[in-house]
This record gives sequence, structure tokens and C-alpha cells, in this order.
Amino acid sequence: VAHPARITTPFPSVLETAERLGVSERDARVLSEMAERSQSNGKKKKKNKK
Amino acid sequence: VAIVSPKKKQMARLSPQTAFINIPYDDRFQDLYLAFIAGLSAFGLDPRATVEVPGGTRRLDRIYELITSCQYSFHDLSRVQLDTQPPRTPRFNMPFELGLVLGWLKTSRSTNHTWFIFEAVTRRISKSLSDLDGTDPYIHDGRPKGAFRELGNALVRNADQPTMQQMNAIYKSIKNDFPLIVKNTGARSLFEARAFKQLVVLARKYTELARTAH
Repeated sequence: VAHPARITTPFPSVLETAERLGVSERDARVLSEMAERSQSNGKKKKKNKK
Repeated sequence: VAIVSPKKKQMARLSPQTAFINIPYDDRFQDLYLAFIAGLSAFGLDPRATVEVPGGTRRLDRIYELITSCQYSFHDLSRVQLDTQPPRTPRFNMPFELGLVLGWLKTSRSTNHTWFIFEAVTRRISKSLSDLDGTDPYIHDGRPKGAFRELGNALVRNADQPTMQQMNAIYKSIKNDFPLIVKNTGARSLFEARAFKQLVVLARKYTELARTAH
């Protein structure tokens, strides 16, 4: 079995990823907000279930 | 005028944080497609794929440019069945793109690109692609959790090794959000350029959130 490849580069930021893929800064911000909202809604739902 | 060797030129455009994913674009593969995006994002890599490349006469050149700009490539050779649409055909794109990578590495003598083979079934590749005998594929069993497990076997990060739970959480989040992305981009499926790019950005954000939560 081959040795695993070691990744030494830092994590890209959301804006770096967006720039690399040609996604506009505005769209990246909208997607970030969407993820934040979705995650906080998920947490609220979990709390309510408890 | 400075003369830049072809190897230096190639290395200059190699992006160390990118991973080319070579997978079948069909609905039956959607969960694994999302799993590769989520898992690679969790490892700090930005997935790239041929869905980004427009059609036309220069498509093959552009695919080659995209592949050779990536530090890593992940080739899923598990789709060996005929598709259901007439005329029923197998998909040759995945082994073809793997061949492009291997040809590139043989001719450029590049040591800066790392490639991985994925399959769903143990030992099947020795029948479907015996030229690769001696190369061990990573067997994901056709399941997202298998893909996360095998990505964890293929890749390692010093301090920030993502957990199975983190990869699974990112996967579930993007799976939950993809219908909205498809709707917002007007795409017919996730296998379209704009939807794919937005999904990768979204996975990057969920990775950020998963890392700050711990």
C-alpha cells in the first residue's frame, strides 16, 4: 500500500477558493451567508428537539 | 530574455491546493460526487473537474490544462456498467483522463503531481484495467463513508487531519443545500459548471465552520 500524500499547504479561504474557480466575490458572500444561516438553523432545530 | 524550462513553466502553473476529480457525471453517482467535494474540501484542497470546461473544439486542450494545473488527481474507475439510455454505452472518459495524467507524467517527468485510483469493488480493476497491475486502488464500496475513509488513507495533514464526522457533516450540509444551488443557477443538474463551482465554494465555507467549531 502506498504511503499517504502529505498535504502541507494551508487551508484556502472562501474568497481564495472563489477566485480560483471564477466565482464572484458577491456570490461567495451570498453562499457563505447561506451556509452560516443553514448551520445556525440546524443548531436551533437540534436544541428544540432536546 | 530569461529562458524558462518547460518543467519550470509547468511547475509555475501547478496549484498546490487543487485536486482534479475524475468521476462519472450521472445521477447514480451524485452522492459520491458530493462526498469527494466534501472530503477534499475538508483536507484543504479545492476540487476541480471537467464540468468546468466548456464544450467546443478546444475542449480537450482545456481539460489537459485543467488537469496539469492540479497538484493531485483522484480517478474513480468504478463506473464499468453500461448506462441505461439507448444506445447503452460504457463511459470511457474516466480511464481516458487517467491516461492523460499518466502520459503527462511520463513525458514531463514531473514529480509534483500525485494521483490516486478509486474503485467500488476489490480486485475488479485487475480485470477492467489490467495495465494498472501493481497499483492499489482505494476501495470506497460505492458509499460516501467509504470515500471519506479512503481519502483518509490516501491523504494526511499534520495538525488538521479532518475527522470522519467533519467530512460527513460537510457532505450532509452541501447535500442539503444543493437543490437551492441548482435552482439559483438555473442548472438542470449538479454536473454543470456554475453549480459545481458554487458547491465547491459552499463546501469551503462549511469546512471553515467545521474547523472553527472544534
